[in-house]
Amino acid sequence: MIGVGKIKQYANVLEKPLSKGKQEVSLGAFAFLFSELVQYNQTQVDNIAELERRLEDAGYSVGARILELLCHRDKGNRRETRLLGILSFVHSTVWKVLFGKVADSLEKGTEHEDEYMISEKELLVNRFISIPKDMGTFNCGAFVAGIVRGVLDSAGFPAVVTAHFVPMEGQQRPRTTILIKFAEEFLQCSFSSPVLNPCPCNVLAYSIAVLTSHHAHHALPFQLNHKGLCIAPVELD
Amino acid sequence: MAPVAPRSGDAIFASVEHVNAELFTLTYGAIVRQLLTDLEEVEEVNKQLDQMGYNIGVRLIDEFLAKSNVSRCVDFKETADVIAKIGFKMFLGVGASVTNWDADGTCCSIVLEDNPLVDFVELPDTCQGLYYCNILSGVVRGALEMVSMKTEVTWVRDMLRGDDAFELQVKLLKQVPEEYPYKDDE
Repeated sequence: MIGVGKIKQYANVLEKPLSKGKQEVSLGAFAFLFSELVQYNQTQVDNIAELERRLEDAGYSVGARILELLCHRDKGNRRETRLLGILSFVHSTVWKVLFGKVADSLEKGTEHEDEYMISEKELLVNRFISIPKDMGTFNCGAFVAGIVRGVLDSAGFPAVVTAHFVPMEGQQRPRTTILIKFAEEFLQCSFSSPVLNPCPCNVLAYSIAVLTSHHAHHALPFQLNHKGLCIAPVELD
Repeated sequence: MAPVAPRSGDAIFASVEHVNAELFTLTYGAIVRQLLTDLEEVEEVNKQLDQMGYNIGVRLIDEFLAKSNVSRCVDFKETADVIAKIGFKMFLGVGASVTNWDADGTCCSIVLEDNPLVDFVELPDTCQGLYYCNILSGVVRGALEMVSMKTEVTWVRDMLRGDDAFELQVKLLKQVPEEYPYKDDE
């Protein structure tokens, strides 16, 4: 049961065992807190774009931490290294943990190859929020966009992520679409030559320094594929 | 109509919608981090957190009264009990107990059994003066002000500062008599 007995003291935060992630607070408590986040940031900015950027920044730090937490707790310190893998991780695992349900849809943009969309009919953070007329296209979903960007970026998939309202036919409230646009260099370059097989250790590295330390066992110089995945040349007998 | 009996904190918490405590914790962390970046001074951050809590408390009391069926408390003692047993339980899902009453019953401590705000948190050396959970004291102060009680709420023990519990001291400053907002001839 939650909250029975005194809290145990630990010398530092790392010694404390990770919670199972089953604890909950009331939706009201979160809604109040989120509304304070938005209101405080409103006092710090002059325009909507700036406000969205600040909410996104707040979300980013949540995203970066949730990725670390989930990979450690649920995935045995492994993390998705493929583009579609990480997208479905966001759409299902992250969404389920944060919002209690899988996101309504994950789609690929039809006009641009490098765009993906996660849509939600009623995004948790927008539940109790109505946008005043004079604030135009402002969407508090920027916070969630920030979370998504935080997860993707920390996993080595830099992207620009934005939140938009999309009117739905026959529905009073628009749905929120989180638009994910991956960095260009990511999808443009093609795979390397076929003699290169993916490195079996399958470690994602986005800097040469990380790679050098992780892959000292490769006798031959390693290479990166377009997703920053190590593809060391495999020695053929 | 007979007055409806107040509901227990557990029953209310079970009946409201929930969100994952980690989303709540991390969002709160994001707020504190933003404040530390913007305001720089730890003292200012404490103040701002308290103010945010106050704003929440002022609004939260409505939801509290609507859902808990709690009617007027006879004295401050009962009020403190209601906050600890129903208030904290209903919103944060954690229990709390009331202790350390002073002789004239105007000052007491609320000790939290658990605190979802501080998961994953450790104060760095530069933030030792920070009352990380100061938002909670603001909430209690704001909510009580809406039911005509001026209070002063301070942290006595804070586990992030090495103490063995989270203890909030609530001191009743004065009870504001309720006034009819209009004169009769208006």
